[in-house]
Amino acid sequence: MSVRLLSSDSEDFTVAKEVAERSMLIKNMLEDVGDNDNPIPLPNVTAKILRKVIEWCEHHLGDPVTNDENERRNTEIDEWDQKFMEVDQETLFDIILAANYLDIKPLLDVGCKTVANMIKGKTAEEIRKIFNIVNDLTPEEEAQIRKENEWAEDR
Amino acid sequence: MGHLNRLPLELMQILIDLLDVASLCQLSRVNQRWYEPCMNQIYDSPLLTTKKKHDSFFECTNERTQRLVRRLHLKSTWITNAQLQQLKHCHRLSRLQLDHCPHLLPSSLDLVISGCVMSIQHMSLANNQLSQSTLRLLGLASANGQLRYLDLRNTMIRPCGAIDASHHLDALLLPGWGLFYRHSLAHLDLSYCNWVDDTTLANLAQALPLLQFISLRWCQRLSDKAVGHLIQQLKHLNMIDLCFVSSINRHSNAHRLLRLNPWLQKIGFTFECKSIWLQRNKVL
Repeated sequence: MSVRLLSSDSEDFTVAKEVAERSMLIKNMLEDVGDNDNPIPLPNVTAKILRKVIEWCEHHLGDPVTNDENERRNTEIDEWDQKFMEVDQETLFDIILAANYLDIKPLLDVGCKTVANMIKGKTAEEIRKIFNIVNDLTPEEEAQIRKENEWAEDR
Repeated sequence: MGHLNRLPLELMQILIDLLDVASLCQLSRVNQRWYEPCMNQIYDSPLLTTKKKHDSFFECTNERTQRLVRRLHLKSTWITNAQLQQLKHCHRLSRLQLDHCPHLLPSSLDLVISGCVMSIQHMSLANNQLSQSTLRLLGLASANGQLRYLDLRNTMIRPCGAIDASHHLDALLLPGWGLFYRHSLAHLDLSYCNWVDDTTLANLAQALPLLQFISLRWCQRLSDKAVGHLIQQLKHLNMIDLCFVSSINRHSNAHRLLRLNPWLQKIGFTFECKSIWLQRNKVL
């Protein structure tokens, strides 16, 4: 059994049903519409990102599904996923947003863990630099926050 | 553009859950957008694991950050009256652990409890000194608020001349006697409280209809009859600890008590210096 998916830029993808069903959104849609040949439109995902997402779902097809959130959160990213996530920042965040929209929790976890690893151990200034963020806090506000959190920064 | 800013709030929260406190402190001052969600997480359950952290927490605490705290566990050897008196604004506090602090004045405790009277759900005050006004506040928290779990093990209620001066908890129980309010208290620990007597039990039986667990361990002045009345009255009671209560020291006593209330599942009592837990489904 295969399923057709239509990206926001109108590219048609044909994938195995089990692969597509890693996405809870698609799984629920398929249950609602039953078997038919029409492609499922995914207006929030471009072809470029959908290709990546399908690649991930195909690789992780046999993975056991864990519903235990703590367990999912505490496992390290495996080597294949690390390689998979070696992309530019725009793509990384696009994948995260697509995983959220398509409701693929394990992919969302991998994406968020990748971003978390980029933040860990960095200073506020370094984080701004890495993610190209403009500091909209006044120096006074920043000093105030630093003071409020002083107790928590001590390791 | 900053891609990190593209994340919607629910994804920001997932990311925050993955970060350690030190990283969150940095992220909190990256920009306006990250400040609040990070602060919520940092202050939700402050882990004051060293004396330095503990003291530094009290040096920088303010009204705004106190409002973010939901769980607080304060260490008896570090907390001082002056520090406790600062915590007036913990309006969202749901769990407070403050055991073994006989050095704390009831008036300092009252300040914290007044702030969280509508939000507190779980409070441990074992081994502390309480006053009438502390009891009144706890009563309000149970009758008008959400207090469900209260640990008063080995507490002393001021003013009193001796540790075994009777106390009937009127101040705690009264707020629930009106027509409009009902006590929410479900778990009450009164172990080692020498001041509990038959009248105290009669009051509890009348005022706390939702009680599921009560411990009266080592409350030596209770009669078999008063305990029976309590068990009969409390329709939700599931478990009662009567270990080392001298009037209930035989299997026959415990069996009789268990038969008084079909909801009661477990009774703890002491027979010849050995504590025994009698279970309904095993004996009846």
